[in-house]
Amino acid sequence: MNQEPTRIHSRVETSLTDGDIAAIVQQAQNGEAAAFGQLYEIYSDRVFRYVAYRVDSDADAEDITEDVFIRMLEAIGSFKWRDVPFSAWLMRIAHNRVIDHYRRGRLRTATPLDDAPPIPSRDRDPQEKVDTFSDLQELRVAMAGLTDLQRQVISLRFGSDLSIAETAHAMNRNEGAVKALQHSAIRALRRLMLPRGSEGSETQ
Amino acid sequence: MTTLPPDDPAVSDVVHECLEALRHGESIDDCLSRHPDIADQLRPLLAAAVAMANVAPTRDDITRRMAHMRFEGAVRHHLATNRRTMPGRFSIRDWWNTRASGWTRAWAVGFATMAVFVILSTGAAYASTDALPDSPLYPVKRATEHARLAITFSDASRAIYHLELIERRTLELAAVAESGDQARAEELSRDVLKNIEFARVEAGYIEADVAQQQETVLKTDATGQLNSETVESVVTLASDTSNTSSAEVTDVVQIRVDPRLRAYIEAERQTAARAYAALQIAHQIAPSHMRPHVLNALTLAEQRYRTTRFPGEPAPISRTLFAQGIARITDRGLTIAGRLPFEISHNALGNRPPQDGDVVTVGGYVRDDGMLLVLRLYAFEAEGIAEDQIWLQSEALGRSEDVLFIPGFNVSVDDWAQVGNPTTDQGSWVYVEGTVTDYGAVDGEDIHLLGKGPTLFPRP
Repeated sequence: MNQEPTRIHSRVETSLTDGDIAAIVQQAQNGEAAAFGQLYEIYSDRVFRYVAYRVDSDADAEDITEDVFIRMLEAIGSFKWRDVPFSAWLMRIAHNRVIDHYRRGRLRTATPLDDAPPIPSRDRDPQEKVDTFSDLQELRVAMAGLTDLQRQVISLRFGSDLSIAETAHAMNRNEGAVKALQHSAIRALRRLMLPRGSEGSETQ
Repeated sequence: MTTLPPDDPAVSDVVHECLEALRHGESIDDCLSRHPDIADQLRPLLAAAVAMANVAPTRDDITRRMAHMRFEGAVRHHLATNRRTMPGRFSIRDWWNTRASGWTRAWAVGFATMAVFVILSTGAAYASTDALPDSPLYPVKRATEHARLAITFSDASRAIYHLELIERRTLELAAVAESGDQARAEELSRDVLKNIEFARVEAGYIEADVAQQQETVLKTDATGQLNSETVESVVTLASDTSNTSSAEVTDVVQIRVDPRLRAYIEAERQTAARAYAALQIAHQIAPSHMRPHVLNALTLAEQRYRTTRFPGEPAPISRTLFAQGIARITDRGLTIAGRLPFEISHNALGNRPPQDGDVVTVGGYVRDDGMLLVLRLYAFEAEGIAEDQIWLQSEALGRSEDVLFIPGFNVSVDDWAQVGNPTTDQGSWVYVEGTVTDYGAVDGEDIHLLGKGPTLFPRP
């Protein structure tokens, strides 16, 4: 049995407050190049992780992340804090770009993740209960089994590190609905972690 | 030990609380110890969450730094070419509305009309107006421009830069008009004419060059040696638009091959939009004997705006067409006047198809000349479904994206930046409404139903 991890590896967290972010956004809206640089520093990894959870290669995620920041640059003049927090607004752009990525992909006959055949399992005893994902690719395959909304909530919460409130804004849902979606997504992932035939043994 | 139903909201709350604690360094056991009654139920879920969080995507540091550098380059370029759209910068319209008066306006209308005519007759321009002629920094600005020109080599870049200079001088002239410095105004006018001449010559070089390129591309095509990217573009275009003409395909090939031409078209389009907006203001306030001239220029500007498009990009939709209303509501979406489909995703209506009595209201931003620039869903009244449960996708004006439906928040900034230019495209929102009246009829391959229409009304 794979060793079950019990803690989330720590990640560097930003200590900036909403007020700090609002000030930086305001400077960017006034056309200050340095402020755009700061926004990139603060958010580019979060956008990248959000996208990387939803597409099937890091290279695509990197391209889309770049595109998201260009869109941000073009549109920031019209951003208004009172409508939605900046992080949620940015992730909406990211969401739209991911959707575009798949639409373009269909035109170019690439296979979207949803339709991709599952990656053959590794050298693992089919009876073995899997308690972890060995890598991101394995997680991506599992995530393909989620609904779009479940994928979104996972990507926003775990990829972008958005709070429940920010996620609610980004998905235009109330916080209760987001919590329920988060819960159902994790339950579904749990099922998808188990090898075929052992679903019934899951403790609910 | 109890087991709550898996979809119990109480469990969702506890899961959420534990996830937050895990993110702050707690272990699974720490969390379970606070909820011993549902520990068995929680453990596998938290284990799954931890497993997932621990394979989070990571970014290669070098790739990241290179991407950051590219973004910085894009920021510099964007700021250099879009100063006017940033708040707090000099805006000719603000200046016009708040400060100019009396003879200043009369003088400026005359000049603006002349200047816009000349700009219209030559091509594109970008604006940047930090230092005005009376600023101590102005000589530095002019010297910088000379220096930049000296290191700009390609015909297209030089042409575009000259056009940018034309617009800079024009804006400076408008400001000088206020101060009444006639000598300075004449000097700037001469500079404008000089730049126009340069731009014209360089644009001529580009055209000749492009004609030659096109010939080369067509020859390459004939021998089947097109590069893969070009083929891909053509295939995309062909599958994207049902009525693509062969001329459009050729244009795409050409533009792929020549990014200079692409930049030129983009610049030209922006100028056309700005010229149109400037002329609209001029027309409103011009003395009566000048109006016919302004009107003539307006017609030309409109024609130019309508025809300057990238290949494959759909033509603007007219207000008349929009006013025909919602033509069709299907289980996948609705169609405005047969041209602008909105796609409603699976989750849009809480997993139920549209049903009789659902009312949908769509807003369109119609520019003053009647062209529809932005399409937006305004309201969806579906019985039994809360508005915040509606999630839509739009496919409007040739682009596609998801629309988070927020009642009253009907301008997506993302949309706006792509389709219209709020600085120059003056207009207003109008709305059409459709009611599902007979959903479920079958017509050929599509289940569909007609909404009523047309209804065109001001903002509800």
